[in-house]
Amino acid sequence: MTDAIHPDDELISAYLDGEATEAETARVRSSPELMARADQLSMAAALTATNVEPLSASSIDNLISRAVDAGAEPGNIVDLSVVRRRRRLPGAIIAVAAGVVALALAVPAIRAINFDSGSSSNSASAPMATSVGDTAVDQKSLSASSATSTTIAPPTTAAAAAAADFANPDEISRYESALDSTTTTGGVAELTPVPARSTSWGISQLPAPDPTAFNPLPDELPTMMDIASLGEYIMIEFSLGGDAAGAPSGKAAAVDIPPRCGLVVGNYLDGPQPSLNLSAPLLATDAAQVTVDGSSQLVILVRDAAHHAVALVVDLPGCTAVTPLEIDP
Amino acid sequence: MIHAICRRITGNDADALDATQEALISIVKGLHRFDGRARFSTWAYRVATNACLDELRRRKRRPDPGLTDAHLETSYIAAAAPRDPGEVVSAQVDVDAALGDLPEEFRTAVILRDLVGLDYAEIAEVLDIAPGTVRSRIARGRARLAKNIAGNQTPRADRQSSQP
Repeated sequence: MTDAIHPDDELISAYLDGEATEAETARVRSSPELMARADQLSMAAALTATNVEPLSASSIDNLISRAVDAGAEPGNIVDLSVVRRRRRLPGAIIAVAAGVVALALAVPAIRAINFDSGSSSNSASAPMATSVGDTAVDQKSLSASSATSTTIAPPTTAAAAAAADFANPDEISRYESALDSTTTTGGVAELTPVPARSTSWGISQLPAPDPTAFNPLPDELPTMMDIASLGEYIMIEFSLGGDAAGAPSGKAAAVDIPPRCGLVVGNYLDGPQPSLNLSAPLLATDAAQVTVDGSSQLVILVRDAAHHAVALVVDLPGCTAVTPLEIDP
Repeated sequence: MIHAICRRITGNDADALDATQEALISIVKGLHRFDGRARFSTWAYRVATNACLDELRRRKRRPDPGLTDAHLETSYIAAAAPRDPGEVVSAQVDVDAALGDLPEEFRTAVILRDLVGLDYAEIAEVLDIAPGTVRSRIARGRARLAKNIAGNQTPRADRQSSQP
């Protein structure tokens, strides 16, 4: 079949689409012949633009549900902004991240949890317990009557996993497994239980903070009220300070949690202000602080709409405060 | 819009549904490969277009059952009260047949331009071709469609009576 194309069809077609140059446009408009051909091509374009009869709502639902069923295994969902952000990471930041992991590997174990009333070391008097993983956000596990022993996996696992490549589903699984194996009981802060679609992120029944320990919750976290109103993005700035020798100066991770499953992309330290960027429709968030050989580690637990729990583990020696910094819709 | 793209590229409801389903599954499964360098819609259209072309290739491997009476009845757009030039033309021309007459590369280009409304740069991104190629394919596709329109603007009743 021959194309039967007019010698100026490309020009005319581009003119119709607003893709012609000024000179080309002037040429078409000055020629009755070209304008006549433009009318013909315009009819062809209009034919293609004829509306397609839309699918019924039930058909759309079926298509979407089948697609989700077929493709939405938890490990498949990776936050896209993380991928973009990671692509932009300068080499120095990655190097620092590697350093953080190496530092974490040198830490033998979490020795104590400093978060109970008036004492930085008395875990027996701690009012509640939690674990880092799916069960961690179960408010029952945070009940004040459940204080027991402390069993905490070495932070090396979580820290190393936190720095892993979370575009890789295997790494996601490995990280989540690491989190599941990390349990803490005693000395963990209890945040106000938040119902579906959290409207508050506060603290209740929290003992007085130990001024000598990293304790962001009493003074700072209450300012993070009304999580739902924050939308999908929360940026938290962790202020470094205190007397921890070798406290990292730098920016902690940009961490994003996709809506349907929780996953955390590891933190790194660089720049003057560590910060974390969480994005998720949060339903519940709890936080705990542990101290590892004098280094503070913040654990933030997040539960999303699908009841996936995620844990964000941040090694921040000397960290003294957690404050919301910026909302990025 | 994904279904509309599939409907126009494949030319029939059944294949369009299959292609739409495949496109949605590919989008869900491939989300982690979307790197944000393009707009999400552009990426999704690319996935959809590829799903449609895959569906067409599968269809070519299947026996062609031919056009059914029902298809012949419904492939002509009734257009009781056409409202725009496209509907006026489509009242007289079988849109699916006209587009189906185009080579795939022309068809996808004109659909992405005239149905979806992408500009040449976006189409180039979706189809992974140069913008100049987009311009050429759209022009050639429209030229063929214009020829079909000119050759088929006969009353519907006349065309139907001429069917074997």
